[in-house]
Amino acid sequence: MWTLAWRNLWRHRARTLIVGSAIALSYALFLILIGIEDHSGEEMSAKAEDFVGGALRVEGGEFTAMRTLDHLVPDGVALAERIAALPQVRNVRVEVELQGLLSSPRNNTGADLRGIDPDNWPTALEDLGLAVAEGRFLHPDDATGIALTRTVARELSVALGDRVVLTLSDPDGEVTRALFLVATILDVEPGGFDRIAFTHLQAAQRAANLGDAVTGIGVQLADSRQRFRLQPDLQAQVDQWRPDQNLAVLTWDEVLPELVAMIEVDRANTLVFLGLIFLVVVFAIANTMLMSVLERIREFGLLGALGLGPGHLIRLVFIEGALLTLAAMAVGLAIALAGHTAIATWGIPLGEGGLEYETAGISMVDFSLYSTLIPLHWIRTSVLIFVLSMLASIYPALRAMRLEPTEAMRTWK
Amino acid sequence: MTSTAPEASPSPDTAARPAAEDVLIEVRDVSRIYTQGQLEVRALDRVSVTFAPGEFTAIAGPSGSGKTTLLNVIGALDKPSAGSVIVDGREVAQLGRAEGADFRLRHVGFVFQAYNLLPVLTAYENAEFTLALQGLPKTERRERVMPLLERVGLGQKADRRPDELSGGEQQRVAVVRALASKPNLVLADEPTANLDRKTGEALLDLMLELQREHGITFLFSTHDPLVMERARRILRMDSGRIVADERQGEA
Ligand SMILES: Nc1ncnc2c1ncn2[C@@H]1O[C@H](COP(=O)(O)OP(=O)(O)OP(=O)(O)O)[C@@H](O)[C@H]1O
Ligand SMILES: [Mg+2]
Repeated sequence: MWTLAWRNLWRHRARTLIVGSAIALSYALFLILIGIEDHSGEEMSAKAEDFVGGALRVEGGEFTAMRTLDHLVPDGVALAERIAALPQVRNVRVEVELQGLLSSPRNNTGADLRGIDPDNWPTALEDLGLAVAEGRFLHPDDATGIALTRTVARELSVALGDRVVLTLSDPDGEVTRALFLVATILDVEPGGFDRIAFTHLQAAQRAANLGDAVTGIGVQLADSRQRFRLQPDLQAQVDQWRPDQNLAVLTWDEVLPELVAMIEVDRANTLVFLGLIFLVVVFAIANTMLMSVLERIREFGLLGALGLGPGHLIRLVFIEGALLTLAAMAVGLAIALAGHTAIATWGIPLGEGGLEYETAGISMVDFSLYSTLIPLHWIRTSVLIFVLSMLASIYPALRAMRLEPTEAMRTWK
Repeated sequence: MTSTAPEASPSPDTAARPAAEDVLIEVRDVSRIYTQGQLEVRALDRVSVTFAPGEFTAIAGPSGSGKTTLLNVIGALDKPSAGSVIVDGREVAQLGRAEGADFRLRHVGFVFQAYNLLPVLTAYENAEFTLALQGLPKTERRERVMPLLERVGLGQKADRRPDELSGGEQQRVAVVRALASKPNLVLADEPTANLDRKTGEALLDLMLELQREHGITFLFSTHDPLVMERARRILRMDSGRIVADERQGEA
């Protein structure tokens, strides 16, 4: 039966090759686009994680929703140390995140001020796409030092050693001010966060009258894809340690829902585009299979006379469809792997300016597209495409089955 | 088995009914009516006939007389509108599609006028097709099919595709396929109609010899008077009825 099916496919060599290439190419395109999509998704996830401080974040309940200083994590450093000792946790980043107004004698500008412990953020600058351009970064001696990105420094017209004043409202709603000296100017890589300022954790706590409280503890996991599974565990643990403090454990996706939505819209667009392409291919398969059934009516009659029942005939058509699809998919997979490897190695340049977009305060610039192979996604896509192709064989198979042998034998006389 | 061979009956014109245990096929009061719009065509009109095991029977008659329909009904390819068809003790008249196919696979070999072979398979693969469907292992299929192919003079051409064989050679492959599965009966619908006289006669002689060697019941339809002479029993049909049932000695 398999031999028969395979040879039947090659009766119309040209037709089989055309439909086979259509399947192979659309399948390859499918996989390659998914690879690119997955790469930019992972890249955005990584950036988002850096921005949030980790795959998970512990914060005062509703801090994310309210963005006010009513929702804090009391004695944040102590809690962070206990979390850091948990298995699966790679690192923790304690931070105080303040929205305030920075002023110099000449200018004002809004900025995202992070009070951090530089020891806890060893790779923080790099992760955020920042590099020290002038001065030194938050040395322990610089208790009142502040690090500004070049963008913010330019807006304030300040240089190293100049004074800046941070104005904000404290948890009680009182307006407070704190004086800082510019200790560092940071260069921002394309795609880095350019409206950001850093101070020592304690300096930020003091400036906002927070005491020992922090606004969040970023929890970096050994494998950030485990975040959804570990989230409830950590929530339970935190609730046990701090029963009365109404602390929340969020994934970065919950902290930055706009970014998630954007990744999903992007993915949906790709899928719709691919779906339309593949719909055409499915029709091509259905059409080919139907033609090949209708031009062999006499032969199906003969098969019936020889003792192939309706079930056999259906199976024959399905096997032909499956062989065609599988052979084409094998070729498509080879093309996709080659394409993926090429794109992952050299990238697809997008020209001078690259592609710039900004979501949730995170700006991204891609100069090139790269590809990441997530086996699960490729397998899922392959199964989907195979199933769709098989659906395309249903009608032709039913036509073959419904042929009455005697009728079929008469058609050519 | 009894000792009464059907051809022992010398009377050419009587349809002497063989004893019950000597009946392989019993067709009783079978009608097959095709309706085409208002028109009713009685392809078979209350046909009753029996065939003994090992009989070699020709069905003759003008075009449209119902020969093909009779063969199809016996092979469960077609359902009669009325009557019963019993093959080897089994009622086949009302078998469903799948049961009918299974019945043919196990008990019936078919040979048609033309287009008998699957064009994508070699002569050998065509010949072993039903055996493969029956699930026989490869070596056993080879042991059964190759001697038969050699017997019909196609041992050297086993690997050829049908379009590389002559019409007569194709028909011989079809005969081998029909015989290879050792069926109870072989139904051949005008197996020689597309062949020239000489090739047709040679095929008939071959079928006759094989039938004798293997003791298989053979039923074939034909227009050709010379071809029917080779049969020991000739059923003559007209307008869906059997109008004569002749038995004759060795040709
Ligand atoms: N599917 C069908 N629909 C309508 N009429 C049919 C059908 N099949 C057969 N018939 C009619 O039944 C009658 C008997 O047909 P059948 O094919 O059995 O004749 P035949 O003796 O085999 O003829 P031939 O020698 O031409 O093959 C014919 O009149 C034919 O037109
Ligand atoms: Mg006929």
